[in-house]
Amino acid sequence: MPLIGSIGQFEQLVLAAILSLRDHAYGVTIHGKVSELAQPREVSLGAIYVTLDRLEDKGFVSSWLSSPTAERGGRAKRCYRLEAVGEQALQESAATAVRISEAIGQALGKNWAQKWRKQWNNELG
Amino acid sequence: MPPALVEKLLWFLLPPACREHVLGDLQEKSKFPKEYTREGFAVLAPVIASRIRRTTDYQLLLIEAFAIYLSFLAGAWYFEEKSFLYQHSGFARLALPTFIAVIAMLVGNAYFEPVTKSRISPILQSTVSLTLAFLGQALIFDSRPGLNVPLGVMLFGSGTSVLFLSILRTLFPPISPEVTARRLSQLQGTRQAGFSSGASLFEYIRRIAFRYRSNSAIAFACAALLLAAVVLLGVLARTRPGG
Repeated sequence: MPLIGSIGQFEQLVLAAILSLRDHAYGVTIHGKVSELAQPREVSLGAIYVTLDRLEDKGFVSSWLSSPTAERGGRAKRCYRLEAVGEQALQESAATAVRISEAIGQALGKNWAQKWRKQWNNELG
Repeated sequence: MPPALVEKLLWFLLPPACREHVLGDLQEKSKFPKEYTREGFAVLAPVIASRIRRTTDYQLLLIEAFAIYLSFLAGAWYFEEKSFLYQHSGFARLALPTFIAVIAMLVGNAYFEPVTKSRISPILQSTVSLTLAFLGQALIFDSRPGLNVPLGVMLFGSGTSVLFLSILRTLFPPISPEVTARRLSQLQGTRQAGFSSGASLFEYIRRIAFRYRSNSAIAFACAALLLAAVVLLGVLARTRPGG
């Protein structure tokens, strides 16, 4: 399987959000999911649009306008779908993340993730 | 409900290709008018910047900048003494209207309406960009006379630039994801059915230009432009009074 060009951390989050949202992936829902995944960092809606545009240019996602809905003032949604290349890029970055996780686990012991999470929570108060 | 004035302002400021879904998302996401206003203006700059990035063809932009500068240079060569170029920073002064026109073209691409694009839009966009270059000159007319470009040079340069840019934009329209997708589907149809006998020569050239849009096509356009400029300069040098 040929390797896809590397993607940034934020791009990974957006791709993961689109993958998990499946048929309901559009601006607002993607923003919500990415905010959830990126905690405790705050994510702006503008950053989501910029990243979605970049991912579409790379061919990782495709988009289309859905029919308008009343709750949006009669405006359409731009829905996104993960393409095969995007899925492959996400697979590669997930595999890398697992390898990093294993390496940290070997160095710091099994409960490193819980320790770090506790530390962050203490820092955030 | 979003504040009507803010919504209208955002509608006006957002690039047409992004208006529909961005305004819809803002309305769905925001519970209060203040939130809508804050989110709306926060989203504006990244959306515009992203649209400019997506619609910019850097090779074409470089050729356009070159064409505009060359047009002003031809004007300066013909209408002004050589001292304007060599002793009064003429080469640098000509870069200012070029810079303004290029920036205007760049922003114009982002607001280029993919659906309602007409055949006169390349001429219109070039004219608006050069008009802004004129306005830039008007603004510095009193405050910075050392940066001014003489009126004759501006008129000649702008006219020639509009001509060059219109030709370039007709043959190599600005890239927007929507236009590219539509053209590609048109091209698929053309490959299957062949060019219809009723297609105009203009349409034929445009299709060829799109099909062979590559570095070599851009280089060819650049060479043709340079040749045209050299011929123009040659004709001007011969017809120049006392030249």
